Amino acid sequence: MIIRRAVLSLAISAALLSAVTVSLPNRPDALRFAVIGDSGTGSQRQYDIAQRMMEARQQFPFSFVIMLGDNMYGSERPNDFEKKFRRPYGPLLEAGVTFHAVLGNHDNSSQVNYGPFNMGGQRYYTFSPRADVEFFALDSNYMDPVQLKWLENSVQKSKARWKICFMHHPLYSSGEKHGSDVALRQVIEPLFVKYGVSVALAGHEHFYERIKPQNGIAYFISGAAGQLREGNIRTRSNLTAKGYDDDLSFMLMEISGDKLDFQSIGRKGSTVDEGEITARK
Amino acid sequence: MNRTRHVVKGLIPLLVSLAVISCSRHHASIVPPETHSAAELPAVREFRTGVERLLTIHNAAERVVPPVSPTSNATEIAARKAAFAKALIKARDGAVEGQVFTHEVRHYFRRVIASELSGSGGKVVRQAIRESNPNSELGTGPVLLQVNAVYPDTQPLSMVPPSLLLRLPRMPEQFDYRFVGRALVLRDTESGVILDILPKAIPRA
Repeated sequence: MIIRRAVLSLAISAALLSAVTVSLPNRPDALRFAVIGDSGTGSQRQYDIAQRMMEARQQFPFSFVIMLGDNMYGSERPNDFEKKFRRPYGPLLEAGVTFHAVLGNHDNSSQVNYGPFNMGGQRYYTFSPRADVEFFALDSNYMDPVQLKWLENSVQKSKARWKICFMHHPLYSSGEKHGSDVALRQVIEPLFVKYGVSVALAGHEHFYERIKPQNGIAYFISGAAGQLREGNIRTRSNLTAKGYDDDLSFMLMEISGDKLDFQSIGRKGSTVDEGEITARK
Repeated sequence: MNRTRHVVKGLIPLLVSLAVISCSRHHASIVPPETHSAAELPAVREFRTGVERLLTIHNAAERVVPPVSPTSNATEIAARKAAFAKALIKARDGAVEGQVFTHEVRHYFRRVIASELSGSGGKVVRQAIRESNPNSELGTGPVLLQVNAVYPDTQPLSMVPPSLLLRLPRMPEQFDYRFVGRALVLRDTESGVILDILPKAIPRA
């Protein structure tokens, strides 16, 4: 009787968490990656999202994951790195997937030295997985003049067709709890516009939101890989192209030529949003 | 013909100057050089002297803790941070508030912050400071405001608005400014040790 109940319980859980269907084109020459934000809770729901990511990878073999900060909530003892990062994403790490993180407001500065986050000891850095794509990882908590100057020089001199910035605080947001970070936007958005940044990714808000293009730039919030603030997207916002705050989520992206295709997937495997962006000229 | 040549020759320096100005405008940075008025300079110099003293202590502490490079060993990272904090706290045993934020320096910082929070742009700056500020405006909260206390890992760090960072004296990478309630703290980034505190840095709304 007890065993029957356990089996039934497992079956119900499996049914509730349906398999993922990746709808991205999966072009042979594509650069594929995933995006998560505000993941580091160590909760069952974080593990659920990690499981969905693994399932997605069976169909869509992404090679790296962008982490949008708040990589660890609460304590950051060694066993927290196990519980909040290594264990949930273990299968991905074993498959050779790399993670590239930025610091959130809940993250200790010493995370820059945690090798699996690939920050190279720096709170801001760039990496280029392919000649035509360059990522700029920013510390939005502390955009001091040195980082600002570095950002200006880096985006200016980059020859990549795709310049993608990622950071913790969103420049545009319809969140009730936080909202747009206008102070940050006033200073760094002009650089994005001037030097051809096509996409900006952020977390901090615990939901998914695709913002309507602003000055030709596509902005996404994907801050629900471990945390959720249900019902937090302001319904009357004129910023939202698509929002999802019913459950946790993560994103998949692929870049091929001047096209970037994206898909946001919910914790139970459903597609929350999808679409295509063309690189800014 | 000779007259034309003279005119052209005369124009060349002007054209070159215009080209230089045009190029420099095109590459003008959004980060202006750090400038302070003559009235502010004494306070800024006093602050810098204090920061340089702290940097000497930081560098000395760094020499006695294990070197750092990216590692997958989280135990090593935690141990280094703890050892750094211990070394810094010991080196500054007995340190009290006001050793860097001296009387003159406090006035200067409070004026700059008040100025940044005033006017039409002030609301945006104040909102940014409130972001993840762990202590309430009443000064009570989970972060112990005490020199030589360690900023707890379990608490978020406040955002510091970029426009304010452009106006305050620029800091070496080893330290940062953070807001805790209405106070501005000077913090060692590697160890989390609170180095000095400026209470009531933020004027009441």
